[in-house]
Amino acid sequence: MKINTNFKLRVIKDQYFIVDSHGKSGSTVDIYKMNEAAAWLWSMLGDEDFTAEMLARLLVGRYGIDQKLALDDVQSMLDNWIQWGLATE
Amino acid sequence: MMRYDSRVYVAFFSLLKSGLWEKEMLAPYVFPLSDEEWRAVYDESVRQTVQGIVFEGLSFLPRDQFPPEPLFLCWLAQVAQIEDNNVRSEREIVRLHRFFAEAGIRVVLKKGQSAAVLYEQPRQRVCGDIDLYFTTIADYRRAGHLVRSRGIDIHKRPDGSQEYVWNGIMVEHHSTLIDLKSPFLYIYLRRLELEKGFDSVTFAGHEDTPVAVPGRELNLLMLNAHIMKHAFISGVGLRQLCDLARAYYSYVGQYDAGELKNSYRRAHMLRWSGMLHNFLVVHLGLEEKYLPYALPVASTEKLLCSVITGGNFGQLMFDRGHYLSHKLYTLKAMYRNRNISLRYSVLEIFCWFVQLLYGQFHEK
Repeated sequence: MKINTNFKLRVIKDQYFIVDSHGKSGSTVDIYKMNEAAAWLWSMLGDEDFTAEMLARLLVGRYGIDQKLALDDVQSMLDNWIQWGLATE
Repeated sequence: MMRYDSRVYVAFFSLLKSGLWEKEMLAPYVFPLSDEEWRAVYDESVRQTVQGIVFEGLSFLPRDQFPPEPLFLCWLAQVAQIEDNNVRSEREIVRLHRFFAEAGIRVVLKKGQSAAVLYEQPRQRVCGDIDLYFTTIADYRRAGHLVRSRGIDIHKRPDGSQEYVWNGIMVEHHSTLIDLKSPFLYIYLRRLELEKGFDSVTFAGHEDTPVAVPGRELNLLMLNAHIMKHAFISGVGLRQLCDLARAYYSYVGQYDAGELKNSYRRAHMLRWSGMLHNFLVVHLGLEEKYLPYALPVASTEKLLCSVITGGNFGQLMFDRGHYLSHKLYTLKAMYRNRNISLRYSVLEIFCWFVQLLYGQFHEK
């Protein structure tokens, strides 16, 4: 899986937004608001492939949460990312 | 007409200063703003084409004093588009640079992206046209032929420059670097150009292609003269004033301030510059220590009035759409700005008038 690098993370006063940086002038721009954990995961990803398990391990390492809970949350988040075009399989 | 000391303008200028210098310069007593006041602040920032800089200033507000979310998201989308436009503009500048370099033509980038690089966040400055200066008349003509040879239409403008659309972006070719029209300055400015020369900048992602830009003293004189021209003729917006403030800040200690003052004196711009420097300090928050010489006392009210009523290049005052209305626009704007032009440089405004008049009869 890869993230769509057309989207850029913007942090504005503890608020996290993913913004489509390739919108054409005059057209709409897609903006997604993220929580801190999702934004942190996004910031860790570049142009390289990743899996849900890799992201879950990152969450466990940072927040010390249960592995299964982390994987469930990551899976749910990635379903949304794929649906919104933020990531591709 | 809203008063300049209204809550909206106080909030607008304090956010602009905070964004321009990336430090808190807020007037806390005006915040929080109502939804309507936020809308007015946003509208003013768009009128002045400084919405990216003012947006940067928002980050110094507590979250509970932010604009209403629909407006905030609209603003964020605008900033994303500004950044995207800057990326496109930088890419086309590099392409144009290579295109002309292959033909042995040297181009110098004037204003625009060459001013943007002086900002903390260059891609949040709204970019306009691409302005290219050619150091010789021969290169200027060859460049025009070269562009035409690609099937691109070039239009001559009344001020003597040429314009065309290059991959969706307006490009202007200039045979003069500094917008001073007095014939008595021609030789002096050419000599200054040869003495001071040019620097180069690179853009992110295009580090292998340095693009020539005016050297520091030339750039300061050019930005100042450009503001003066627009203040005298069509009207000037805050973006151009922000450019000069950032240039003074960025170049401090890297140029000969005495020589710059001498250039202003030679160009009869000392009195004008005194007022302009006051504007940069009072309204844009530039610290006096970054100015090239001590600040004289001067009222900035007329320039502030012109900036607020005219907006970016005076585009707010008149309908410029129709050919005749466009011609009348220039005359009306010159008349409207007479309080500034006649006070600071009668010779320059006269020379510009003659140039524009001449251009009307030689326009294609």
